[in-house]
Amino acid sequence: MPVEEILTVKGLSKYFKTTRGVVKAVEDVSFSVMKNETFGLVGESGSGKSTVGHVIMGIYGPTAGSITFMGKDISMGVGRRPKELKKQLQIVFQDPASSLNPRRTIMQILELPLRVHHLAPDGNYREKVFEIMNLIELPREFAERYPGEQGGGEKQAVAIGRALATGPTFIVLDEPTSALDVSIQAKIINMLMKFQKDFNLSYLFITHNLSLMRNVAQRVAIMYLGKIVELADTPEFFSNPLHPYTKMLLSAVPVITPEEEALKPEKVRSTGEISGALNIPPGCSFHPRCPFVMDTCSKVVPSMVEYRKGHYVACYLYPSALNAE
Amino acid sequence: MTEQLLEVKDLHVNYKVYEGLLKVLNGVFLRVSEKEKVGIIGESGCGKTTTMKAIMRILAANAIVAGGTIAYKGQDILQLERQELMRLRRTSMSMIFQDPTAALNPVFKVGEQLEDIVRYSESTTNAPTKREVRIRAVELLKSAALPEPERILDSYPFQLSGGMRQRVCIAMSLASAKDLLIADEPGTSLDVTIEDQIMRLLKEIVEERGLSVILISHSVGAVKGFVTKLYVMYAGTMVEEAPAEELFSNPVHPYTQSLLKAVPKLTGGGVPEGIAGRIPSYLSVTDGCRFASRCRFVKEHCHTTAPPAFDIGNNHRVACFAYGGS
Amino acid sequence: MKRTMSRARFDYRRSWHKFSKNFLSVVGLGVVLLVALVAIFAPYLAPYPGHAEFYVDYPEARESPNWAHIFGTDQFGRDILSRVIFGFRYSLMMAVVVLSLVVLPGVVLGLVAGYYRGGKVDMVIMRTADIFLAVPPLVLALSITSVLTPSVFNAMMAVSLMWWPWYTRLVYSISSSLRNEAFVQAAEIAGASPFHIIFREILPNCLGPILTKMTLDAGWVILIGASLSFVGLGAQPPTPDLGTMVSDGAKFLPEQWWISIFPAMTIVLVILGFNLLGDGVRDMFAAEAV
Repeated sequence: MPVEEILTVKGLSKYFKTTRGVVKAVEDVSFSVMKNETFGLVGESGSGKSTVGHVIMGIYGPTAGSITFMGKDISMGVGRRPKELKKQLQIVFQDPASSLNPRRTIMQILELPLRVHHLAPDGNYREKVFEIMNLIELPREFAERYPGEQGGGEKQAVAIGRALATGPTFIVLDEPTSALDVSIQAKIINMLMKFQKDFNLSYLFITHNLSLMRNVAQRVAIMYLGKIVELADTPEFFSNPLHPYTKMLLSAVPVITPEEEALKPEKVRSTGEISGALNIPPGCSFHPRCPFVMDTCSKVVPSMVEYRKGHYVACYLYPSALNAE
Repeated sequence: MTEQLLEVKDLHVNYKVYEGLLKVLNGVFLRVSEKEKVGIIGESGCGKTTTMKAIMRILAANAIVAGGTIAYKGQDILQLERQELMRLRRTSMSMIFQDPTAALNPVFKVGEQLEDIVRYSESTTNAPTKREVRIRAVELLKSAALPEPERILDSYPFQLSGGMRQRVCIAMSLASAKDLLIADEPGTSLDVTIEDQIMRLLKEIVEERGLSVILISHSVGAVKGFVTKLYVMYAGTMVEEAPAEELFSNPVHPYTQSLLKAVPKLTGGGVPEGIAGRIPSYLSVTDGCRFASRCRFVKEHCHTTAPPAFDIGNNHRVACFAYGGS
Repeated sequence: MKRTMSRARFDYRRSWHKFSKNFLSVVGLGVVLLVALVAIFAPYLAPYPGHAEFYVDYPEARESPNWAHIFGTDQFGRDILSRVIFGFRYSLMMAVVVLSLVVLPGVVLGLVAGYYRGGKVDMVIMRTADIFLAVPPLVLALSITSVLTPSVFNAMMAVSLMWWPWYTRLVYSISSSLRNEAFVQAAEIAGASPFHIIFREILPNCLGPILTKMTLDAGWVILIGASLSFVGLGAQPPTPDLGTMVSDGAKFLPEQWWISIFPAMTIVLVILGFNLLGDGVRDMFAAEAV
């Protein structure tokens, strides 16, 4: 059975005009998410990964490029999207403290999407909310409480419950566990994986935590200053990283066991600071920090090359596909 | 036996809130010798920041120290007069906070803030001139590996990146830290590559100056490779103490074991399991072991009596009845 | 949808606990309640209710404070205490009427301008507010009342006209910053209508500052109203307005000081009461520390 694409992003760019200049948050990004897949987007702050998620959700309209969902073009802002589409695409934000209105109870928060889309045929929204709370393992008594009274894990569970309320097929998970402790993170991730299986969901999983990404995504793309610099299947990505930035990031991951330590690439020390998104260096944006920098790097942006099957990289160290040489 | 630089014994701290009394710290112990690097790992709400605030005596107004002693260089900090305490803070110990953006005043230039601290930390011995203060400030920034220190002194915090701000905070703490440096999650708000840089810098500085460090983190990986002794905290209790290597290769407390298992591995292996149950509310803690409700080795008496810390050799202590007494 | 959506419960005890932490807030509440009760039951509490209207009794005029007239009498022989008691009525009425007229439109305009921030709606609303705010408040009120016939009613209209933009500004700053918060984005993504977002998501987060401001404003409005009366553009004689009483009695200072001073002191008392109460209201909405 062929695996089909559920979401495709082609040549996506998003620029923001600010008083200090134009911020090119996302530049010419292309990838596809397959049905029932968890596609990972990794990067540090300023990489543009969250912006990609926001544009897909319609929080911003794209400056250039297209987004296709289930074959249909969806590159319009959320205000102009058809209601049916809003049911299908959902998002879980990073910080549950700001993604849940502190002045609304959990019942009210979970009720909203149900009411907007008239999802309780008999008008009994309370029951439906209790069903959701059951799913996210929150006791019924919490329904009348405010988010501020809950811990981070419970808040994030509510955010996930809200995302699931409309029965979506695709969820953007924007750093869903970055604000949570490790033990609660494990619980939430397990919950998300279970839901993915039970409800046939596809995920765009955005995080800066590489150890986490290793265990949740089937394919990973890494972004730097708005561009994707490498994309591969997860095992390949972690055992054979190609791009110097990928190696730099991997070598800096704090790990505990000696096996993990052995997996990490040799330490790549960054030389210099991360340039702000306002003045992105010409050519390859990474060249000021790259220990392998060459002449071409500062002149022309390297294009994505399929170096190995399914393994793409944008770097002059790998100018063409492996077997082409 | 060398005298400990810092020794916390049986510390109990409560907070008075609307709903009642939060019994947060429950007999916390901690020992830091000279030039020793100690780490405390634990999840949010476990009381690590409260412990540090108790040591620096910057607890909130509704906090009550209900028992225990904190001995710093032999003196009980909790009994110190204000003057003595201020002197201690100026000349001997200092703290680096989690969020460098919040630790720096956004409306003052970095130079003004740093020079204030320099002046304050030297003033008891001599009254330095403006020029001397400036020179010292530049020195401090240089020792925090900041390029173009003069330019940074004239900048506002928002003009600097997160990593640079944290380095400014490190420089500030170096002005007064002669003996002890407390670093509360210094890399948490930073990107991984920058955090890596900062931690390396900190290690260099600390070793060069022979400082003792208490490093607090909720990220287990961040402390490895930095500290020599580790404490694990859970719900206001010190549950395990061991040399760093020992803790990672042989964690014995059920919580420590579950915690280490819950960290996702770079080598794969699937999504780790969480820990069943939730952290007990400090309002309704019992006299028993606070981990009892989630522990897979729990016995009857665990619910009624809190286990003391048992010594299991190799400088390894654990607060669990599975390893001693009854 | 709105009508049947769940309502959140209001925790009275906890709110009182936060409010009463500061003793002065409770004092403020007490003063305001006292003034309100006195104003409501004025005819029963004033020793000489008839003195609040046209009344003359020259033999009793200008008597210094004594047991028959605790605050003394004015130049017409009217009991000052009774007039002050009735004066509370006009002061409070000013506060109530002005705030009722001003808060609703001001808040709604601020919410809408903040939600559509950056667009034409924002510009029109906020620039209009700016125009009203650019004129010094008392000057505006004076000009309006001097053009129209001076009266309590016109004074209230004048003050209302210059007061609404403050609410618009206050709410605008909160609304426009919350506009980009994740929970508003989440509501939009869920498909909520702008009406829902403005009134159900953003407004609840503005209530604290709005109510605090209303409480503090009550004091200010009373002061401005008294100022207008003081210069003769508000309440007209023989209406026992506190401001008018102060200005009437000014010519008898310093010998018959009680004619001006007692009304002036009560103005201070009322405003102080509202200020202290306002502090308490602000505390009530403040987030609790650990």
